[in-house]
Amino acid sequence: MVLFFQAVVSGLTIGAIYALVAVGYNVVYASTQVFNLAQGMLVMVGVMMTYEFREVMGWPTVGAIAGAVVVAGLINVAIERVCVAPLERTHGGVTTHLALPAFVTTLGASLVIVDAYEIIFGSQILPFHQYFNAVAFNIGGHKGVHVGRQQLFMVVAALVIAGAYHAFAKYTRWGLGLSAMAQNREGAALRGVPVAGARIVAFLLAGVISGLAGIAIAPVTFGDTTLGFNYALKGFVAMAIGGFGSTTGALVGGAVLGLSEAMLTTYGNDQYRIYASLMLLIVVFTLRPRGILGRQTIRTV
Amino acid sequence: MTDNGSSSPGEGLEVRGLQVRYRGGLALHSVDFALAPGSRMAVVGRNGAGKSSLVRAIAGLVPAYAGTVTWNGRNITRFSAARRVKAGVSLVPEGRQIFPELTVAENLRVGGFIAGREVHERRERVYGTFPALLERAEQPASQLSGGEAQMLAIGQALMANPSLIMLDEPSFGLAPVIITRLLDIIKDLSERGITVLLVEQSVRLALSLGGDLYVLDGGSLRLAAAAGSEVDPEVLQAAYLGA
Amino acid sequence: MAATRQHEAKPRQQVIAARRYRFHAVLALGAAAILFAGPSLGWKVSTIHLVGSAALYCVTVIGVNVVLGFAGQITLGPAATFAVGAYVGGVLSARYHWNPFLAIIPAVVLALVIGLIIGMPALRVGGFYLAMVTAIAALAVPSTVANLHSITGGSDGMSARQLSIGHHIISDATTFRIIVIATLLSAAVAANISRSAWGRWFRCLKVNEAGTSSLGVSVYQAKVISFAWSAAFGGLAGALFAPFELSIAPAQFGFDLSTAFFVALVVGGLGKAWAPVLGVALYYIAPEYLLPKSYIGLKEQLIFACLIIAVVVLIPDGLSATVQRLSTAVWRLIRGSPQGAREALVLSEPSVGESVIAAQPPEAPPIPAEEPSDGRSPEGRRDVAARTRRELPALLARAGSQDRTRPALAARDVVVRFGGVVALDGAALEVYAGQVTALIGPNGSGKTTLLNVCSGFQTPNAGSIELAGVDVTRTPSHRRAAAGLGRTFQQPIVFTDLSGAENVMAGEMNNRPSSVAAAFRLPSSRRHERAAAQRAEALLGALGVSHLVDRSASKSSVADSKILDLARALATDPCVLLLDEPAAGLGLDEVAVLEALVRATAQAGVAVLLVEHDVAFVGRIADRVVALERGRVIAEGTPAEVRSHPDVLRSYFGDVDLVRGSDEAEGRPAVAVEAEHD
Repeated sequence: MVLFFQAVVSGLTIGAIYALVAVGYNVVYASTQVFNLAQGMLVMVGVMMTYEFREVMGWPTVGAIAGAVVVAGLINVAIERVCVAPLERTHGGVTTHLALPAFVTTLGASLVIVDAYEIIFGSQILPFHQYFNAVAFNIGGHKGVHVGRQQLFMVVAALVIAGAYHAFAKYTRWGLGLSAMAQNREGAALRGVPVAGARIVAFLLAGVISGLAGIAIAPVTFGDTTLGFNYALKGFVAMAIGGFGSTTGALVGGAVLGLSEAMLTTYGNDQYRIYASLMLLIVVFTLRPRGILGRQTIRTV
Repeated sequence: MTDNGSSSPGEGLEVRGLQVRYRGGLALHSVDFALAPGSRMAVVGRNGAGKSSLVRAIAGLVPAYAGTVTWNGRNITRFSAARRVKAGVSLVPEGRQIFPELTVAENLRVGGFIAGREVHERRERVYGTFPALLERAEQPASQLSGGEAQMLAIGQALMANPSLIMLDEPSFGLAPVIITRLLDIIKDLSERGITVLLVEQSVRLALSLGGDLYVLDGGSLRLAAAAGSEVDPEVLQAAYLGA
Repeated sequence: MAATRQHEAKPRQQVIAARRYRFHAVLALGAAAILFAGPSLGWKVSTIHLVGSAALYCVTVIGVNVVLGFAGQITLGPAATFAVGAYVGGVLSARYHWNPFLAIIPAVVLALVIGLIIGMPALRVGGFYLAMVTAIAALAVPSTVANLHSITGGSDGMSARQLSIGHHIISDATTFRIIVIATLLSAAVAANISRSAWGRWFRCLKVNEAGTSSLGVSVYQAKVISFAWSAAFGGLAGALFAPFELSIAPAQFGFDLSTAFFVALVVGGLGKAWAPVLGVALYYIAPEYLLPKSYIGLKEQLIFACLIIAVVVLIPDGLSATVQRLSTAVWRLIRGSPQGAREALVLSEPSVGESVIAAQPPEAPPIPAEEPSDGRSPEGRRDVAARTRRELPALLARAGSQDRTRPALAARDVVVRFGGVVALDGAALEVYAGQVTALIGPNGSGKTTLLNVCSGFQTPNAGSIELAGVDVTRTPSHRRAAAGLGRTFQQPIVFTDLSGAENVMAGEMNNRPSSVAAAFRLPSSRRHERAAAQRAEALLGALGVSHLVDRSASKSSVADSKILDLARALATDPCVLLLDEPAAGLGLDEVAVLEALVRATAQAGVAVLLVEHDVAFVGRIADRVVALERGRVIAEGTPAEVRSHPDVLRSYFGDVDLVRGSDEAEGRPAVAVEAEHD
């Protein structure tokens, strides 16, 4: 029983990260029809930059976090400028035609990030000072379920970040403008939303969100940049389960995926992890292709 | 080329030699007209004649292959759609194009994207013009009836404080009673000093607007009836049923 | 008819296609010969292994080219079937002592089966879903291999056996040569598929999915078949990989391998014949030789990743196209035409002028463009029209044998609702063989919806569709097409890398080959090709556009594309033909040409139903007109009758009072219009 709840805790924790990647995808895809494969890698940028600023350069925690967020946001903007915007010229103006080439160029961007990091920063590993002391909460007594503060932090962080984005999307003019673009791009342009500039804003936001996810996860993850691809895929699965275009859906999807993975790895072994994604995807496609809370159907390429 | 009323040069809407091409051919061959500020005009024509292309080109949604569009002395031919909204040009597009998942209030907020701090003021004024929208302010726009949706679309355009408003087939799919109300609203806009360009399939509605009536045929505009005079039936028949 | 053709000359299209094929075949054989000689020329073992594994990667990418390049279905998991092939072959030969050659067969079969298990559900949804499911599958396979520890050696990997016959072990060099041959054969098979009927149908999947079913091909089936072929290629490559590399481990078949295959193809140029070779050469072989040794490692990978971005952004059709352009330029330079050489080098990206051409029309533009169409005189056009009327009936056997007294196509009480909107409200019509029936109506009247219900793309909420009296309401669209319901679309379907005749051949219905027959150019496929080519040439000749037969379709004007579209639809030997706004975007001359063709088609016995905005065009061409408004039929009859019908006038003009003088007093319709003019 304890094992079960322990699995729930770790499932929700990792699910939080998947959910944030999914939110990042949503922000960009919903408003611009572009699927940014580098979204997962930006989580790793958040991890790496937090590490660099805090451990290697010795900045205070708050400064390190701010720095990491800024870097992640700017890198995503750079990706938009280099990998997405120029495609309009060579692939024609119709946005649906951008989908496949953007897929490839953002994949290339992921590779660039992986390699660039290792070249610039090398692979020195210093110990990472945890954000919180190691005291864990124990539910059900000393032999009960351990919930680390870090884990709680990650789940709370995901909820806060998703909530903040939701508020942005609902109450600010840019947020509403991006939502409008997602629902009707031309209509939004006619109302004065600068669609080209808005795409940059969407990428910036998505970068910030993924960067924050990385910051939350930094203390407990290895600096393995190839994890970025893993997050990229899992984030997609979370989005597919929860429904495209829905922030709450991203949270739900992330939770479902995280929990499934945790169950399979706790009661099976670590190699079973991928089956969670495979099975959930097949179930979702067969029963409800739109996703649990999905509102828009994803346009096929 | 015809002019509408007396206008000082450089004022109002001036379209010269406008040509719009699609990959399949020409939509607009060469369109010339001028619309004095504060006045109104209507454009009719059969399906496929290019009416939508005309207003979309003026609004900046499709690029002009040739020709110029000038508004109040500024050459806006190369402006993006959003920039033209800032310049005072608003289009209420065919099919309304409101945002179904946003509430009425949020839809108006998006309409006021460029409004800055005046957003709330302007929204109050729109509610004043369209009380039905105030009633449904927190409802998602997908739940609006056809007439209410059209009101919302016009309200959205008004949020940008336009000096030129273009409407593309606003009567489409609406009951006659609503159409009458719609017409009153459009005339009211014109009376407020906003320049109005109405595109319609229904000749009757276009005539009731009261300004000049043009027919779009063969890729260019022809005057069918100057303001206040009678329609030349041959022009209309030729345009709609072929000649 | 087919029997006598045996003695006639080969169709022009086939001669040209064969020539093109031979050129590439010679090139490929040459390259293979060089590789063959490699070991004898003193290549190091490391070189042999580098080139050999690159060749096997190439085989996998050839497979990806079939599913992604030809058919446009995104797969991110080619390494999955590669891994299955490697492990099945490896395990059977190493653990169960199968002969390594024989083990290849179950390896390929199992790769095929697993590929289909993964692909079949995902292909129903397509798009990004397919991409992600295949990506996850690509991760699941190595994990599963690691899990089946006892059989596969788990994450540590296992050793595979070398190829052998009995006790005689085949050397590295010979295995390498076998791989080269396998690669050559794979390339040949892919080329065969590309130039066969299947290649054309895959192209249709990419260009217009719905259009594929109008050719009588099931969309889902075609997607699955393309996917199956890619799985088979992957399995073969993997099956040869194990005995060559001799040790395999799950880590070798990770997601990065899949992305490498995908990127190699995109960089090489989707759908192009040499793309797999160029992509793999750039991705695997070039770094070894082009970059100085000190750069190998991270910097090399970084440069690579940047290169990928640069290629996709700057050269959208990939390296193959660049190579093609360069070679064309060089060739023209040699022939003494520097101007031509310069032209060839220019990227086919939108020129400044084209960038101000809008991408999609909101409504069909019917106004003449300025350019004239075929420069023919009116007499010339009359001759062509006469020729068409003469020659077409022989080519449309099914149409001619129809009963002209009963409707060839009937729609009865069709109701279609989209959410709260009623698009069709009890619409009905009948189309008779030998006649042109036109469907007119204002925007939103439901014309295209009705057409889609007839074709089978839209299921009605109520009502029925009958084809020659047979209820086809539940029949899928590709079967309706096979039964004789042809269709064209508003945007003509053009396969730009094929000739005009090859475009038309996609419609050929008789004796269609299986994909296996096409892949190995079995006699049944060759017979189909020959018959299709003859019919295509005959059709294009009858339609007066023989010059399009061997001209690349990319050079066709809009009018020519529409004629190709029509010819392709006629190649299906339709009883009924649905035309969706055929006159849209054509100049006056071109419309006249089209009119003649459509009338001739009807005269040959086809029941033609066309949707049009241009009421004048309709007046000239139609025998019967049906007017729709808000999903209901408001008038039917001759063009003159419908044009002066008060309800129709109201739907277009909206109650305007156009009355002048005595007509109204005498009770005649307010607007009387002449039907003929010009």
